[in-house]
Amino acid sequence: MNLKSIVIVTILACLSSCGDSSNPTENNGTSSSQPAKAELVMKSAPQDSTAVKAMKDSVQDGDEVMVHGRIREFVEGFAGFTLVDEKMRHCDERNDDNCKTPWDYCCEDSTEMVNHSVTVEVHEDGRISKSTLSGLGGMDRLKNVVVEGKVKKSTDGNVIVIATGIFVRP
Amino acid sequence: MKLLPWEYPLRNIMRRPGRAILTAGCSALAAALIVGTVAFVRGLETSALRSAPKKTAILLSQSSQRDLVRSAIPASVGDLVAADVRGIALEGGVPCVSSEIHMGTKIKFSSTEGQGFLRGVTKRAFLVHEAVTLIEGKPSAPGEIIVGRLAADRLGLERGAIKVGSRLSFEDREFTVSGIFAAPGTTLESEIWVPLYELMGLTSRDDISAVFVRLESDEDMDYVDLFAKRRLDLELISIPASVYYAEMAAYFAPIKRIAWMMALMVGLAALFGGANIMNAAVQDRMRELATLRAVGYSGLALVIALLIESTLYAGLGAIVGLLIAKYSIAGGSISLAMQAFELEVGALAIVFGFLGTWLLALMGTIPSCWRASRCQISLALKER
Repeated sequence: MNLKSIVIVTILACLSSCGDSSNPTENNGTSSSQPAKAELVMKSAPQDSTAVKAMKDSVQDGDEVMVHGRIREFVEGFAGFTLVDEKMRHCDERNDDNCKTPWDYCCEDSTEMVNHSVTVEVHEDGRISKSTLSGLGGMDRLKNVVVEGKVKKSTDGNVIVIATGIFVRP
Repeated sequence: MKLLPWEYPLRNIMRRPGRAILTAGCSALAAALIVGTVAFVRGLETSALRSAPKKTAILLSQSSQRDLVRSAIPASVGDLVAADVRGIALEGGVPCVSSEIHMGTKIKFSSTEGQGFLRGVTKRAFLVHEAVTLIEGKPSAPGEIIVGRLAADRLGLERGAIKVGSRLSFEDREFTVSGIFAAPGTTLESEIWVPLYELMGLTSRDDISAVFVRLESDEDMDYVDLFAKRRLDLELISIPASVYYAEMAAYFAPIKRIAWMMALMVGLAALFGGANIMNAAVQDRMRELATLRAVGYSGLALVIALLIESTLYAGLGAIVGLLIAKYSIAGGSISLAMQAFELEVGALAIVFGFLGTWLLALMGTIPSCWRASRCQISLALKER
């Protein structure tokens, strides 16, 4: 009787542990999105990336691109951020400026900022993911990153990069 | 402890009617001042906060420094938002998205000319600004405008001077008032609403100031922010309306501080005046108070009698003060910047008026209480 109980308990324990290992990816939506986001972070620096402005001037809708720049600000509540050409100088790079929010590039001309910026988004199931990229792999405002992804260009020229990989420069 | 009969303080008030009237008058003015200050400060603060439509985001230009009047964005933004943004509230299938122009300009009415606030709107504005109700007339057609209940006050005219059918001129064009609207407790009531496309034509603008987007829930604000950050070419920022109007209310903080400081200074003047009157009253009655001590009443019993006396003065004064406030302050309006708001004598103002006057009266009685409780009976009885 005792031996029989031990065998049953052992079998049940094995079955339940198998079930547990499959849960995070199959049943829990939040957990399943975590590995996908972590996979975005590239471990080595990609070669031959282009600056934001040069990329914007030359790309067509659907092009695969590798673009480098600096994170301006994250999109509230979504996996996205604005990437700015490194040519643009944020307020901390100006010696005479004591701006408390240097990432807003308030010292730069707004039209130039538009020409030198692009939105980067991470999609899941064809839609922007509802999670933040802030902190992922060390991503923060004004951090230099290289983004690999596909271009979505609207008819009026607005460019969005749907990221498939992001490298955060040390 | 043996207390003095309750009618003793009351009889004392009757004994010197002239002094009683002056003391109560002092309390009345203090009460009216406190009520007026509370009504002003509350009106300044709440009129801005209540002007924020609920569950609404505002899209305005990045370069506007978060100021609707300075903002200029493409006129197409409203349609783009309605087509692209998820979570927008619908009324009868119509998206609650209002494209607007906000501007101040000179308004001419009859022989009067003053600075007024214009809001260029489409009919969708009523879907977003739910506080607004047309109380007279009809919505505007081309060549017509609707005006807020306080628009006349803003122009320095009597309330109700602008009626349905009145003609107002601005930007070299005459408009007929087709309706009057109310939006109680908000600054919207001082505005003049003009058909958006007519105002764009008049001012030679091909842009608008902002787009107000009413959403199904506050959580959907993120979708408006996402739109602004995706459409970098439009140079937009998104702010929740509640945040925008809270910032506007905070802008008036120095004015509120000055109002409170002035009320405090006048209150202190009333306090010292009242203390002087009560002190003189005790001085005059020193022999009487000493006699009461001699027949067995304690110093505390005299203090309680004096506090009751000053409470009666304060209560009488506060009632008169509230009546003064009701007939001279309530319903009046204050014009500030390009807006106007109505002064409301609400429950809070009344409670503040009563409590403030009572506290001033009690504090003003402290020196006389001290004197009465410390009097030397033998010396006081010899006083003439």
